[in-house]
Amino acid sequence: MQNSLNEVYLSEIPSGKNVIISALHEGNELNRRLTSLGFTPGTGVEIVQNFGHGPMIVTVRGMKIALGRGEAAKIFVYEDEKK
Amino acid sequence: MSDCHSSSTAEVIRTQDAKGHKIPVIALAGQPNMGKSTLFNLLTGLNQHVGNWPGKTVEQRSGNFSFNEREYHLVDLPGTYSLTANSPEEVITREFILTEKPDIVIAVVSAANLERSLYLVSELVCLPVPIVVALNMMDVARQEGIAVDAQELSQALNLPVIAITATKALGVRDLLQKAQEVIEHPTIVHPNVPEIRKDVADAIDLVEQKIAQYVPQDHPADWAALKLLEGDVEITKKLKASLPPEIEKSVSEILRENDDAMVAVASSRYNWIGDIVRRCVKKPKMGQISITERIDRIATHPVWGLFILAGILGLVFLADFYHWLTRSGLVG
Repeated sequence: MQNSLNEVYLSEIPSGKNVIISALHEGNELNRRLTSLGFTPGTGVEIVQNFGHGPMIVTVRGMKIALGRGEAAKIFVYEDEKK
Repeated sequence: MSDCHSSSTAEVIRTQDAKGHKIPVIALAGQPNMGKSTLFNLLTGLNQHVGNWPGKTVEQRSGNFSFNEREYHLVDLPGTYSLTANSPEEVITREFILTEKPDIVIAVVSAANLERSLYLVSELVCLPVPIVVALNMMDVARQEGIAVDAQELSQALNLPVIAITATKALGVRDLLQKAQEVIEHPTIVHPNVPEIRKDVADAIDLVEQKIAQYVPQDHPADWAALKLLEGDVEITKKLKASLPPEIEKSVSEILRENDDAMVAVASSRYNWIGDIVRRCVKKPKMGQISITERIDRIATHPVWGLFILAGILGLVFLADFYHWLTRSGLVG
């Protein structure tokens, strides 16, 4: 269930939570990179590590990826209620 | 600049055999960390040439090897996640395949992470080149409890798939045997390709018709149209230079109307991959935490990570210092 009210940036999600990508922020160059790494709308993401500052680690499609904060702040997500 | 270094090896790396026939070219393609270089080193041994791709600061490695009394020229393409012009590596890989036309591409994928590594394959199948898939890291997958069915994968992709473990040189003979078969008896195979969302697919067809006679040499029109909709910088630039103004205008119009095409195309590729992975991969039940994960948790911590870094550097320094002290005869 997509709920636009609950949409937040991936960078704001604390460690251990599961979210689903709803959209990618404008910016073609970064989007091309992110989509080819597996960050496509509808994909589940697990936040492995987020200390609230500096880079974070997420699991997407079974692969761990370190994301810069700026990059994570361009990905819209909503909470995965099934998990 | 590199001429003085390469002159001796250049004689070893031949592109023609004794009778003057062209030596078949095999290209190795794969994402980073799929074991591509392990396979390359295994096949070529010391008979390899290292240089740079023309005009790029990306390493180019090639070498020759013999198999069943035939000689082959092997080119190690740079590791790339996709074939959209995000980086010089990606441009080099696709340019090589399109313009140099290798006799075959060996796509190296990891059985331990099939979902991720098939993304490059989902792009390779759209290029006009024969492909054999090397399903590598079978040992790593087995250790992690992941079972991959190579035959099922072959059916799903409609491509030959050979399971190998490059680090232990397992399955490599079978891989070369298959590659040799494909090179010597080239038949037109149609690999399964990702099905793209209807409206985007229609837009691609429309763009293809418009640009068909203007695409750069060696570039298939349908592929160029797909890349245009993905917003590929390089192809867009190339076509801007060759398209007549009125056609360029109508193409830009289509691209503007489909500005979500890039995400749609990537999603359809991952859907295609998802279906394939479901068919041929059996995963262990979730929840078990591996040792790597435990180490990661501490080593990537903002505070403990620094302590570990300092500790390792300190140990290296101490070991080196101690070694120097004993060697110099000041102690011991």
